[in-house]
Amino acid sequence: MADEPRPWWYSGEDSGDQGVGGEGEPGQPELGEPGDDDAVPIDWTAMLSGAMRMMDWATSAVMAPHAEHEDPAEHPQCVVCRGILLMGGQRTVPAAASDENGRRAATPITWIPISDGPAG
Amino acid sequence: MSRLILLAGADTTSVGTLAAATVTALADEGFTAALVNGSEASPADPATTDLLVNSIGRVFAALGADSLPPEAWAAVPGLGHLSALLLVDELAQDSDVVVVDAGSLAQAQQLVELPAVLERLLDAALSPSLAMWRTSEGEDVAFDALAEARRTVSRLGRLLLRRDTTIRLVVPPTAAGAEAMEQGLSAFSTLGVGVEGVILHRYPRKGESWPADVRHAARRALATVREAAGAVAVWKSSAEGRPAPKGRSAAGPFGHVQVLDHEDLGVRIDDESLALDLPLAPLARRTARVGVTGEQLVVAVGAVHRWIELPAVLRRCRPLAGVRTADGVRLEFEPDPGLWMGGGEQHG
Repeated sequence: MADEPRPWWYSGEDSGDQGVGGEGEPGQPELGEPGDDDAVPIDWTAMLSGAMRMMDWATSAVMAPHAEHEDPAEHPQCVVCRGILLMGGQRTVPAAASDENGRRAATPITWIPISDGPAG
Repeated sequence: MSRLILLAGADTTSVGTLAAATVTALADEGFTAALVNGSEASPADPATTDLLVNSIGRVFAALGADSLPPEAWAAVPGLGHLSALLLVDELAQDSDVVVVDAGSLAQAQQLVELPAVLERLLDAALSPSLAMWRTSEGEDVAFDALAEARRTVSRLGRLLLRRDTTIRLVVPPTAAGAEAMEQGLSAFSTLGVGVEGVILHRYPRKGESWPADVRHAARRALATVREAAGAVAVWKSSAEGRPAPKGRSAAGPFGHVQVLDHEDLGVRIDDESLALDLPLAPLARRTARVGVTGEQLVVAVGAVHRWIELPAVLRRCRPLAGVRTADGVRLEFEPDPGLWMGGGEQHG
Protein backbone atom coordinates (compact mmCIF):
# COMPACT_ATOMS: atom_id res chain seq x y z
CA MET A 1 0.00 0.00 0.00
CA ALA A 2 2.71 2.44 0.97
CA ASP A 3 4.50 2.09 -2.41
CA GLU A 4 1.41 2.58 -4.53
CA PRO A 5 0.99 5.85 -6.38
CA ARG A 6 -1.36 8.23 -4.62
CA PRO A 7 -4.05 10.42 -6.13
CA TRP A 8 -3.04 14.02 -6.66
CA TRP A 9 -5.35 15.23 -3.89
CA TYR A 10 -3.64 13.05 -1.28
CA SER A 11 -1.08 15.02 0.64
CA GLY A 12 0.60 12.01 2.20
CA GLU A 13 0.74 13.71 5.57
CA ASP A 14 -2.52 12.49 7.05
CA SER A 15 -2.16 9.15 8.74
CA GLY A 16 -5.84 9.05 9.76
CA ASP A 17 -7.03 7.63 6.41
CA GLN A 18 -5.81 4.11 6.96
CA GLY A 19 -8.35 1.71 5.54
CA VAL A 20 -10.46 4.40 3.87
CA GLY A 21 -9.85 3.14 0.38
CA GLY A 22 -9.56 -0.45 -0.75
CA GLU A 23 -6.80 -1.81 -2.87
CA GLY A 24 -6.58 0.18 -6.04
CA GLU A 25 -9.38 2.49 -4.92
CA PRO A 26 -8.92 6.13 -4.01
CA GLY A 27 -9.69 7.24 -0.45
CA GLN A 28 -12.18 9.92 0.38
CA PRO A 29 -10.80 13.39 0.92
CA GLU A 30 -11.51 15.18 4.13
CA LEU A 31 -13.55 18.24 3.50
CA GLY A 32 -12.16 21.43 4.87
CA GLU A 33 -14.14 24.23 6.38
CA PRO A 34 -15.79 26.62 3.91
CA GLY A 35 -13.52 29.45 3.08
CA ASP A 36 -10.34 27.57 3.89
CA ASP A 37 -9.11 27.81 0.29
CA ASP A 38 -9.66 31.53 0.08
CA ALA A 39 -6.28 32.29 1.44
CA VAL A 40 -4.43 29.71 -0.64
CA PRO A 41 -3.07 30.98 -3.97
CA ILE A 42 -3.45 28.68 -7.03
CA ASP A 43 -0.26 26.74 -7.58
CA TRP A 44 -0.33 25.72 -11.28
CA THR A 45 2.81 23.66 -10.95
CA ALA A 46 1.25 21.66 -8.15
CA MET A 47 -1.93 21.17 -10.17
CA LEU A 48 0.03 19.96 -13.19
CA SER A 49 1.97 17.65 -11.00
CA GLY A 50 -1.28 16.40 -9.53
CA ALA A 51 -2.73 15.81 -12.97
CA MET A 52 0.32 13.77 -13.87
CA ARG A 53 -0.10 11.76 -10.69
CA MET A 54 -3.76 11.15 -11.54
CA MET A 55 -2.76 9.86 -14.96
CA ASP A 56 -0.25 7.55 -13.35
CA TRP A 57 -2.83 6.32 -10.92
CA ALA A 58 -5.41 5.75 -13.67
CA THR A 59 -2.85 3.83 -15.67
CA SER A 60 -1.89 1.55 -12.83
CA ALA A 61 -5.29 1.14 -11.19
CA VAL A 62 -7.59 1.00 -14.23
CA MET A 63 -5.78 0.46 -17.53
CA ALA A 64 -3.26 -2.11 -16.36
CA PRO A 65 -5.85 -4.55 -14.98
CA HIS A 66 -8.05 -3.96 -18.07
CA ALA A 67 -5.19 -4.92 -20.38
CA GLU A 68 -5.74 -8.52 -19.30
CA HIS A 69 -9.49 -8.48 -20.07
CA GLU A 70 -10.14 -10.25 -23.37
CA ASP A 71 -13.93 -10.32 -23.28
CA PRO A 72 -15.53 -7.13 -21.91
CA ALA A 73 -18.72 -9.03 -21.06
CA GLU A 74 -16.83 -11.12 -18.49
CA HIS A 75 -15.61 -8.08 -16.54
CA PRO A 76 -18.60 -5.94 -15.63
CA GLN A 77 -16.69 -4.51 -12.60
CA CYS A 78 -14.11 -2.95 -14.94
CA VAL A 79 -14.91 0.63 -15.92
CA VAL A 80 -13.26 0.34 -19.35
CA CYS A 81 -15.03 -2.93 -20.13
CA ARG A 82 -18.36 -1.42 -19.15
CA GLY A 83 -17.64 1.54 -21.42
CA ILE A 84 -16.80 -0.77 -24.30
CA LEU A 85 -20.00 -2.72 -23.78
CA LEU A 86 -22.04 0.46 -23.71
CA MET A 87 -20.41 1.91 -26.80
CA GLY A 88 -20.01 -1.35 -28.70
CA GLY A 89 -23.61 -2.41 -28.13
CA GLN A 90 -24.59 -5.14 -30.56
CA ARG A 91 -21.02 -5.96 -31.52
CA THR A 92 -20.75 -8.28 -28.58
CA VAL A 93 -23.37 -10.76 -29.84
CA PRO A 94 -22.12 -14.12 -31.09
CA ALA A 95 -22.70 -13.19 -34.74
CA ALA A 96 -19.65 -10.96 -34.54
CA ALA A 97 -17.55 -13.46 -32.64
CA SER A 98 -14.06 -14.29 -33.72
CA ASP A 99 -13.08 -17.20 -35.95
CA GLU A 100 -12.47 -19.24 -32.82
CA ASN A 101 -16.22 -19.10 -32.25
CA GLY A 102 -17.10 -20.70 -35.54
CA ARG A 103 -16.99 -17.93 -38.11
CA ARG A 104 -15.13 -18.64 -41.28
CA ALA A 105 -13.34 -15.98 -43.24
CA ALA A 106 -14.46 -15.61 -46.84
CA THR A 107 -12.07 -17.27 -49.25
CA PRO A 108 -11.46 -15.00 -52.24
CA ILE A 109 -12.12 -16.42 -55.68
CA THR A 110 -8.99 -17.36 -57.61
CA TRP A 111 -9.89 -16.60 -61.22
CA ILE A 112 -8.31 -18.92 -63.74
CA PRO A 113 -6.79 -17.38 -66.88
CA ILE A 114 -8.60 -18.74 -69.96
CA SER A 115 -7.10 -18.64 -73.42
CA ASP A 116 -8.48 -19.44 -76.84
CA GLY A 117 -7.71 -22.99 -77.81
CA PRO A 118 -7.39 -24.37 -81.35
CA ALA A 119 -11.16 -24.71 -81.57
CA GLY A 120 -11.98 -21.58 -79.60
CA MET B 1 -42.96 -36.70 -61.12
CA SER B 2 -44.38 -33.64 -62.78
CA ARG B 3 -42.80 -31.70 -65.60
CA LEU B 4 -41.82 -28.11 -64.97
CA ILE B 5 -41.72 -25.76 -67.95
CA LEU B 6 -40.53 -22.18 -67.57
CA LEU B 7 -41.15 -19.56 -70.22
CA ALA B 8 -39.09 -16.40 -70.40
CA GLY B 9 -38.31 -13.86 -73.04
CA ALA B 10 -37.51 -10.40 -74.21
CA ASP B 11 -41.14 -9.26 -74.14
CA THR B 12 -43.13 -10.16 -71.03
CA THR B 13 -46.49 -9.80 -72.79
CA SER B 14 -45.51 -12.40 -75.37
CA VAL B 15 -44.27 -14.70 -72.60
CA GLY B 16 -47.65 -14.43 -70.85
CA THR B 17 -49.45 -15.23 -74.11
CA LEU B 18 -47.29 -18.30 -74.78
CA ALA B 19 -47.54 -19.52 -71.18
CA ALA B 20 -51.34 -19.36 -71.31
CA ALA B 21 -51.34 -21.06 -74.73
CA THR B 22 -49.10 -23.83 -73.38
CA VAL B 23 -51.40 -24.57 -70.44
CA THR B 24 -54.44 -24.59 -72.74
CA ALA B 25 -52.75 -26.96 -75.17
CA LEU B 26 -51.69 -29.27 -72.33
CA ALA B 27 -55.25 -29.34 -70.98
CA ASP B 28 -56.53 -30.14 -74.48
CA GLU B 29 -54.09 -33.04 -74.60
CA GLY B 30 -55.48 -34.38 -71.33
CA PHE B 31 -52.73 -33.30 -68.97
CA THR B 32 -53.38 -31.83 -65.56
CA ALA B 33 -51.61 -28.52 -66.00
CA ALA B 34 -51.14 -25.53 -63.70
CA LEU B 35 -49.96 -22.01 -64.50
CA VAL B 36 -47.86 -19.99 -62.05
CA ASN B 37 -46.96 -16.33 -62.38
CA GLY B 38 -43.26 -16.32 -61.55
CA SER B 39 -42.49 -12.85 -62.83
CA GLU B 40 -41.28 -10.09 -60.57
CA ALA B 41 -44.76 -8.59 -60.50
CA SER B 42 -46.18 -11.51 -58.55
CA PRO B 43 -46.68 -10.53 -54.90
CA ALA B 44 -45.37 -12.56 -51.98
CA ASP B 45 -48.05 -14.60 -50.25
CA PRO B 46 -48.48 -14.45 -46.43
CA ALA B 47 -46.88 -17.88 -45.92
CA THR B 48 -43.66 -16.75 -47.60
CA THR B 49 -43.63 -13.54 -45.60
CA ASP B 50 -44.07 -15.57 -42.40
CA LEU B 51 -41.07 -17.67 -43.40
CA LEU B 52 -38.96 -14.52 -43.56
CA VAL B 53 -40.38 -12.96 -40.40
CA ASN B 54 -39.76 -16.13 -38.39
CA SER B 55 -36.20 -16.59 -39.58
CA ILE B 56 -34.37 -13.41 -40.56
CA GLY B 57 -36.88 -11.33 -38.59
CA ARG B 58 -36.02 -13.16 -35.37
CA VAL B 59 -32.32 -12.55 -35.90
CA PHE B 60 -33.05 -8.85 -36.39
CA ALA B 61 -35.17 -8.81 -33.23
CA ALA B 62 -32.41 -10.49 -31.22
CA LEU B 63 -30.03 -7.81 -32.45
CA GLY B 64 -32.34 -5.20 -30.96
CA ALA B 65 -34.23 -4.09 -34.08
CA ASP B 66 -37.75 -2.77 -33.70
CA SER B 67 -40.63 -4.93 -34.88
CA LEU B 68 -41.97 -4.40 -38.38
CA PRO B 69 -45.41 -5.28 -39.73
CA PRO B 70 -45.43 -8.32 -42.07
CA GLU B 71 -46.35 -6.03 -44.96
CA ALA B 72 -42.94 -4.36 -44.66
CA TRP B 73 -41.21 -7.73 -45.11
CA ALA B 74 -43.44 -8.61 -48.08
CA ALA B 75 -41.76 -5.86 -50.10
CA VAL B 76 -38.30 -7.44 -49.82
CA PRO B 77 -36.95 -8.05 -53.37
CA GLY B 78 -37.00 -11.68 -54.38
CA LEU B 79 -39.78 -12.65 -52.01
CA GLY B 80 -42.29 -12.76 -54.89
CA HIS B 81 -39.98 -15.20 -56.68
CA LEU B 82 -39.64 -17.31 -53.56
CA SER B 83 -43.40 -17.32 -53.19
CA ALA B 84 -43.81 -18.47 -56.80
CA LEU B 85 -41.29 -21.29 -56.34
CA LEU B 86 -43.06 -22.49 -53.20
CA LEU B 87 -46.32 -22.54 -55.14
CA VAL B 88 -44.66 -24.49 -57.96
CA ASP B 89 -43.37 -26.99 -55.40
CA GLU B 90 -46.87 -27.43 -54.03
CA LEU B 91 -48.60 -27.70 -57.42
CA ALA B 92 -46.01 -30.16 -58.67
CA GLN B 93 -47.44 -32.73 -56.23
CA ASP B 94 -50.78 -32.90 -58.03
CA SER B 95 -50.11 -31.77 -61.60
CA ASP B 96 -48.65 -33.50 -64.64
CA VAL B 97 -47.12 -30.26 -65.84
CA VAL B 98 -46.52 -26.92 -64.10
CA VAL B 99 -45.98 -24.00 -66.46
CA VAL B 100 -44.26 -20.92 -65.06
CA ASP B 101 -44.54 -17.52 -66.67
CA ALA B 102 -41.07 -16.36 -65.59
CA GLY B 103 -41.32 -12.95 -67.25
CA SER B 104 -38.32 -11.26 -68.79
CA LEU B 105 -34.97 -13.00 -69.20
CA ALA B 106 -33.51 -11.02 -66.30
CA GLN B 107 -36.44 -11.90 -64.04
CA ALA B 108 -36.22 -15.55 -65.01
CA GLN B 109 -32.49 -15.61 -64.26
CA GLN B 110 -33.17 -14.20 -60.80
CA LEU B 111 -35.91 -16.76 -60.26
CA VAL B 112 -33.68 -19.67 -61.26
CA GLU B 113 -30.68 -18.37 -59.31
CA LEU B 114 -32.63 -17.54 -56.12
CA PRO B 115 -32.56 -20.96 -54.37
CA ALA B 116 -28.79 -21.30 -54.84
CA VAL B 117 -28.20 -17.74 -53.61
CA LEU B 118 -30.34 -18.30 -50.52
CA GLU B 119 -28.71 -21.66 -49.91
CA ARG B 120 -25.28 -20.04 -49.80
CA LEU B 121 -26.41 -17.21 -47.53
CA LEU B 122 -28.13 -19.61 -45.14
CA ASP B 123 -25.12 -21.92 -45.11
CA ALA B 124 -23.01 -18.95 -44.03
CA ALA B 125 -25.57 -17.96 -41.39
CA LEU B 126 -25.93 -21.45 -39.90
CA SER B 127 -22.71 -21.20 -37.92
CA PRO B 128 -21.89 -22.73 -34.54
CA SER B 129 -22.12 -19.21 -33.11
CA LEU B 130 -25.76 -18.93 -34.19
CA ALA B 131 -26.46 -22.40 -32.85
CA MET B 132 -25.16 -21.36 -29.42
CA TRP B 133 -26.77 -17.92 -29.46
CA ARG B 134 -29.58 -17.56 -26.96
CA THR B 135 -31.87 -14.68 -26.14
CA SER B 136 -31.85 -13.21 -22.65
CA GLU B 137 -34.69 -15.68 -21.86
CA GLY B 138 -32.46 -18.54 -22.95
CA GLU B 139 -34.35 -19.26 -26.18
CA ASP B 140 -32.81 -20.27 -29.49
CA VAL B 141 -32.58 -17.13 -31.61
CA ALA B 142 -33.40 -18.50 -35.06
CA PHE B 143 -31.18 -21.49 -35.75
CA ASP B 144 -34.01 -23.99 -36.15
CA ALA B 145 -36.05 -21.60 -38.29
CA LEU B 146 -33.07 -20.86 -40.55
CA ALA B 147 -32.22 -24.57 -40.80
CA GLU B 148 -35.80 -25.27 -41.89
CA ALA B 149 -35.58 -22.43 -44.43
CA ARG B 150 -32.33 -23.96 -45.70
CA ARG B 151 -34.05 -27.32 -46.25
CA THR B 152 -36.89 -25.58 -48.11
CA VAL B 153 -34.69 -23.59 -50.51
CA SER B 154 -32.57 -26.67 -51.09
CA ARG B 155 -35.69 -28.56 -52.16
CA LEU B 156 -36.65 -25.70 -54.50
CA GLY B 157 -33.16 -25.72 -55.98
CA ARG B 158 -33.37 -29.45 -56.68
CA LEU B 159 -36.77 -28.90 -58.30
CA LEU B 160 -35.25 -26.44 -60.76
CA LEU B 161 -32.19 -28.55 -61.54
CA ARG B 162 -34.10 -31.74 -62.36
CA ARG B 163 -33.86 -33.00 -65.91
CA ASP B 164 -37.66 -32.71 -66.08
CA THR B 165 -37.35 -28.96 -65.68
CA THR B 166 -36.72 -27.03 -68.89
CA ILE B 167 -37.09 -23.53 -70.18
CA ARG B 168 -38.50 -22.15 -73.42
CA LEU B 169 -37.33 -18.80 -74.67
CA VAL B 170 -39.80 -16.46 -76.36
CA VAL B 171 -38.14 -13.89 -78.59
CA PRO B 172 -39.24 -11.65 -81.46
CA PRO B 173 -38.01 -12.54 -84.96
CA THR B 174 -35.50 -9.69 -85.05
CA ALA B 175 -31.77 -9.21 -84.61
CA ALA B 176 -32.39 -8.10 -81.00
CA GLY B 177 -34.46 -11.23 -80.43
CA ALA B 178 -31.66 -13.44 -81.73
CA GLU B 179 -29.21 -11.70 -79.41
CA ALA B 180 -31.57 -12.12 -76.43
CA MET B 181 -31.96 -15.80 -77.27
CA GLU B 182 -28.20 -16.32 -77.26
CA GLN B 183 -27.88 -14.56 -73.90
CA GLY B 184 -30.71 -16.61 -72.43
CA LEU B 185 -29.30 -19.88 -73.71
CA SER B 186 -25.93 -18.98 -72.25
CA ALA B 187 -27.27 -17.92 -68.84
CA PHE B 188 -29.75 -20.74 -68.25
CA SER B 189 -27.52 -23.58 -69.41
CA THR B 190 -24.81 -22.22 -67.09
CA LEU B 191 -27.30 -22.15 -64.22
CA GLY B 192 -28.15 -25.78 -64.92
CA VAL B 193 -31.62 -25.35 -66.44
CA GLY B 194 -31.79 -26.67 -69.97
CA VAL B 195 -33.25 -24.58 -72.76
CA GLU B 196 -35.38 -26.97 -74.80
CA GLY B 197 -36.96 -24.57 -77.26
CA VAL B 198 -36.86 -21.13 -78.80
CA ILE B 199 -40.15 -19.63 -79.91
CA LEU B 200 -39.97 -16.86 -82.50
CA HIS B 201 -43.16 -15.08 -81.55
CA ARG B 202 -45.16 -12.96 -84.02
CA TYR B 203 -43.31 -14.38 -86.98
CA PRO B 204 -44.82 -12.97 -90.22
CA ARG B 205 -47.13 -15.49 -91.83
CA LYS B 206 -47.42 -15.93 -95.56
CA GLY B 207 -50.92 -14.59 -95.91
CA GLU B 208 -50.25 -11.47 -93.84
CA SER B 209 -49.33 -8.14 -95.34
CA TRP B 210 -46.04 -7.41 -93.58
CA PRO B 211 -43.56 -4.97 -95.14
CA ALA B 212 -40.81 -6.66 -97.10
CA ASP B 213 -38.01 -5.43 -94.80
CA VAL B 214 -39.80 -6.91 -91.77
CA ARG B 215 -40.05 -10.25 -93.54
CA HIS B 216 -36.37 -10.14 -94.49
CA ALA B 217 -35.37 -9.24 -90.92
CA ALA B 218 -37.47 -12.13 -89.59
CA ARG B 219 -35.83 -14.59 -91.98
CA ARG B 220 -32.36 -13.37 -91.00
CA ALA B 221 -33.24 -13.68 -87.32
CA LEU B 222 -34.56 -17.20 -87.87
CA ALA B 223 -31.30 -18.22 -89.56
CA THR B 224 -29.22 -16.65 -86.74
CA VAL B 225 -31.30 -18.29 -84.02
CA ARG B 226 -31.15 -21.70 -85.68
CA GLU B 227 -27.40 -21.48 -86.02
CA ALA B 228 -26.88 -20.36 -82.39
CA ALA B 229 -29.43 -22.79 -80.98
CA GLY B 230 -27.57 -25.85 -82.20
CA ALA B 231 -29.71 -28.87 -81.34
CA VAL B 232 -32.31 -26.84 -79.43
CA ALA B 233 -35.71 -26.83 -81.15
CA VAL B 234 -36.73 -23.57 -82.83
CA TRP B 235 -40.23 -22.86 -84.05
CA LYS B 236 -42.29 -19.97 -85.33
CA SER B 237 -45.36 -18.70 -83.56
CA SER B 238 -48.14 -16.42 -84.74
CA ALA B 239 -49.64 -13.70 -82.56
CA GLU B 240 -52.10 -16.23 -81.07
CA GLY B 241 -49.22 -18.27 -79.74
CA ARG B 242 -48.06 -21.71 -80.83
CA PRO B 243 -46.78 -23.53 -77.75
CA ALA B 244 -45.05 -26.41 -79.56
CA PRO B 245 -43.59 -27.31 -82.94
CA LYS B 246 -46.08 -28.68 -85.44
CA GLY B 247 -47.28 -32.15 -84.59
CA ARG B 248 -45.58 -32.23 -81.15
CA SER B 249 -47.05 -32.38 -77.67
CA ALA B 250 -46.89 -29.14 -75.70
CA ALA B 251 -45.37 -31.16 -72.85
CA GLY B 252 -42.13 -31.61 -74.79
CA PRO B 253 -39.27 -31.90 -74.28
CA PHE B 254 -37.88 -30.91 -77.64
CA GLY B 255 -34.41 -31.07 -79.08
CA HIS B 256 -31.22 -31.64 -77.19
CA VAL B 257 -30.89 -29.91 -73.85
CA GLN B 258 -27.32 -29.05 -72.84
CA VAL B 259 -26.63 -27.83 -69.34
CA LEU B 260 -23.74 -27.40 -66.98
CA ASP B 261 -24.60 -30.37 -64.80
CA HIS B 262 -22.36 -30.86 -61.78
CA GLU B 263 -23.13 -34.58 -61.73
CA ASP B 264 -21.75 -35.03 -65.24
CA LEU B 265 -18.41 -33.36 -64.65
CA GLY B 266 -15.64 -35.85 -65.23
CA VAL B 267 -11.92 -35.43 -64.58
CA ARG B 268 -9.35 -36.60 -67.10
CA ILE B 269 -5.84 -37.38 -65.95
CA ASP B 270 -2.98 -36.42 -68.29
CA ASP B 271 0.55 -37.15 -67.07
CA GLU B 272 1.11 -34.68 -64.22
CA SER B 273 -2.07 -32.66 -64.61
CA LEU B 274 -5.80 -33.17 -64.32
CA ALA B 275 -8.35 -31.71 -66.71
CA LEU B 276 -11.97 -30.76 -66.10
CA ASP B 277 -14.28 -30.09 -69.06
CA LEU B 278 -17.11 -27.60 -68.54
CA PRO B 279 -19.79 -27.80 -71.24
CA LEU B 280 -20.94 -24.26 -72.03
CA ALA B 281 -23.25 -22.65 -74.57
CA PRO B 282 -21.52 -20.69 -77.36
CA LEU B 283 -21.84 -17.23 -75.80
CA ALA B 284 -20.86 -18.51 -72.35
CA ARG B 285 -17.89 -20.25 -73.96
CA ARG B 286 -16.62 -16.90 -75.20
CA THR B 287 -17.36 -14.77 -72.15
CA ALA B 288 -17.30 -17.01 -69.08
CA ARG B 289 -14.92 -16.39 -66.19
CA VAL B 290 -14.07 -19.41 -64.11
CA GLY B 291 -12.57 -19.41 -60.64
CA VAL B 292 -12.03 -21.53 -57.57
CA THR B 293 -12.89 -20.68 -53.97
CA GLY B 294 -12.44 -23.22 -51.23
CA GLU B 295 -13.84 -26.45 -52.58
CA GLN B 296 -16.12 -24.79 -55.10
CA LEU B 297 -15.88 -23.85 -58.72
CA VAL B 298 -17.44 -20.54 -59.77
CA VAL B 299 -18.61 -19.99 -63.33
CA ALA B 300 -19.59 -16.39 -64.04
CA VAL B 301 -21.42 -15.44 -67.22
CA GLY B 302 -22.47 -11.81 -67.16
CA ALA B 303 -24.38 -11.29 -63.91
CA VAL B 304 -25.02 -15.02 -63.50
CA HIS B 305 -22.89 -17.05 -61.09
CA ARG B 306 -23.00 -20.82 -60.83
CA TRP B 307 -21.37 -22.44 -57.80
CA ILE B 308 -20.44 -26.08 -58.22
CA GLU B 309 -18.75 -28.45 -55.81
CA LEU B 310 -15.35 -29.38 -57.19
CA PRO B 311 -14.93 -33.09 -57.93
CA ALA B 312 -13.22 -34.65 -54.91
CA VAL B 313 -9.95 -35.30 -56.71
CA LEU B 314 -9.54 -31.61 -57.53
CA ARG B 315 -9.98 -30.35 -53.97
CA ARG B 316 -6.29 -30.85 -53.26
CA CYS B 317 -5.18 -29.41 -56.56
CA ARG B 318 -4.52 -25.91 -57.74
CA PRO B 319 -5.85 -24.49 -60.99
CA LEU B 320 -3.30 -23.77 -63.68
CA ALA B 321 -5.13 -22.43 -66.69
CA GLY B 322 -8.19 -22.79 -68.88
CA VAL B 323 -8.59 -23.25 -72.61
CA ARG B 324 -11.70 -22.66 -74.71
CA THR B 325 -12.73 -25.73 -76.64
CA ALA B 326 -15.43 -26.49 -79.19
CA ASP B 327 -17.87 -27.47 -76.41
CA GLY B 328 -16.93 -25.21 -73.53
CA VAL B 329 -13.89 -24.63 -71.38
CA ARG B 330 -11.25 -27.12 -70.28
CA LEU B 331 -9.56 -26.37 -66.98
CA GLU B 332 -6.20 -27.79 -66.00
CA PHE B 333 -5.22 -28.51 -62.42
CA GLU B 334 -2.10 -29.88 -60.80
CA PRO B 335 -1.70 -31.49 -57.39
CA ASP B 336 -0.86 -28.84 -54.81
CA PRO B 337 2.11 -30.20 -52.84
CA GLY B 338 1.28 -27.96 -49.89
CA LEU B 339 -2.25 -29.27 -49.64
CA TRP B 340 -1.33 -32.89 -50.29
CA MET B 341 1.44 -32.94 -47.76
CA GLY B 342 0.04 -30.52 -45.21
CA GLY B 343 -3.61 -31.45 -45.30
CA GLY B 344 -4.68 -27.83 -45.79
CA GLU B 345 -8.27 -26.92 -46.44
CA GLN B 346 -8.21 -24.07 -48.91
CA HIS B 347 -6.98 -23.46 -52.39
CA GLY B 348 -4.56 -20.68 -52.90
